[in-house]
Amino acid sequence: MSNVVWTVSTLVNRLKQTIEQNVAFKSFYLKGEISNFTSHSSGHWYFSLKDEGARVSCVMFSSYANAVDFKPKNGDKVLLRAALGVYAMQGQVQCSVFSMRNDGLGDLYLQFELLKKKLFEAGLFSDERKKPIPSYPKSIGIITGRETAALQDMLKTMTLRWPIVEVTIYPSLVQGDQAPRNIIEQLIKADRNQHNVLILARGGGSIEDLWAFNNEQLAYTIEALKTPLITGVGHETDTTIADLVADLRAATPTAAVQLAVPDIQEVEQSVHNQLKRLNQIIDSELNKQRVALRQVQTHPVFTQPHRLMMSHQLQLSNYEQQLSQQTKRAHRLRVGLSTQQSQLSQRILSFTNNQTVRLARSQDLLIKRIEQKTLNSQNAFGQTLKLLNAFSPLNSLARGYSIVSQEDKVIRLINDIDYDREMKIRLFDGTVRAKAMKEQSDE
Amino acid sequence: MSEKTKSFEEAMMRLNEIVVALDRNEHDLESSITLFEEGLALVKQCDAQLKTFEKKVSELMVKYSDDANV
Repeated sequence: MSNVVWTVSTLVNRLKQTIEQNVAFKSFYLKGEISNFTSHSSGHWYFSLKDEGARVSCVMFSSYANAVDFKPKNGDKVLLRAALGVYAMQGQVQCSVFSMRNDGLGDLYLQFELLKKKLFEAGLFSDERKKPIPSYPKSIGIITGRETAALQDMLKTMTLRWPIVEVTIYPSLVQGDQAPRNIIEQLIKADRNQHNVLILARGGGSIEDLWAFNNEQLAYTIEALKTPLITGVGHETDTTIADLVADLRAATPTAAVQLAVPDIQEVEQSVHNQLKRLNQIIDSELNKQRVALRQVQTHPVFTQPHRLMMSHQLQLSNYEQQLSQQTKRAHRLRVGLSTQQSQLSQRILSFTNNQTVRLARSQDLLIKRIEQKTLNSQNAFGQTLKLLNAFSPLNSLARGYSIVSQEDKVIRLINDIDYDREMKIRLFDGTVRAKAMKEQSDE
Repeated sequence: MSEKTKSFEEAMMRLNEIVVALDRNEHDLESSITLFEEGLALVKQCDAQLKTFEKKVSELMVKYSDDANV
């Protein structure tokens, strides 16, 4: 026991903190009977909720009150979702209400929320588990109530949209205690029959009517199906557990058919467009190739094939030209050569002629000279002969002179004489031998 | 020339090769004439193939458009 004295404010604030910090009070379901209901002009609702043993005051602000689809009154049994707080001014605990349902449904709603939470946590609603819906199904299985308006609507829509599909109907109870088991059996049966897609449908009804579709076992059956499933249960606003687990959810049975099959007119139009497009593509491709081929065909290589030979012809004529130049040169050389030849022969001829002339002249001259010389010589000889005759010793000898010689040497001077040797004296008529004798010289 | 008939695409490729080679004029005359002849044959072949394709496309269009309209 503490001796500390609290003020009222401290007490109430501590109470407020204690309550508002408790997670369990932040969001919970509460059921009871409404009393002291007041709808304030601001749109907020104030009331108490009570049962046999207790009561608690409640406030529901206009933003939440506006979403409630009925007008509550005193004595209504309701199910609330609320948070607990403390209103300090009055020292009162007070529920702040977020949503309100009629409690006739209160239990069902609570069960639905709990099951939804459980299955959500088990991952049954996750997108990864959802199977893709085929675009153009050939075979469809429909699980729905026998001979119902929903079935008639669905078949009508099917015939209009996609008459080429084969439809198998699996009639089933769609409400009541037996319904979930029956639906499960028919789903499993349909799943074995190799349909492209299944539709589970039921027309609109109250939440109790649709309750068969909020079944845990059904949820697991749907999750285990090999065939894609589309659901269309109730009206737009109704969402069942079956809808959440299904691969695709439609708002109504008719909408389920619209999601299951394409509109044949749209498909025909699309096929027609594709065909047109195909034709355009192939046409443009052929055109492209045609243009490419024409380009090749009109290329100078083919249109002016002589160009192929042009360079060769050019080279050829070049060679021809060079060759003809060589020929001309050879010709020129030959002409030059023959000119020179004739000049040479002329020169030689004239030279020879000259020489012949000169030779003849020389010969003549020589002959003349020789004749002259001979003549001269003959004259000289005659004179010489005369001279010779004049000087001939024989003449002297005849005139009485003689020639003394010793050893074949003519003696002219006395000093030449060898007195010991014989001398020869040549006389006019012969030779005699003699000997000289020394004599006193006069001189 | 090859023993098998070339596909259109092969023929066009070969044709382009030939045109480039002849355009450069880097072969001797005999080879050039051989290439020229091959080129003309390929032009003829491609033209015939194109005509066949075009004919076939228009036939197919008629055939399948009729089917679609029924």
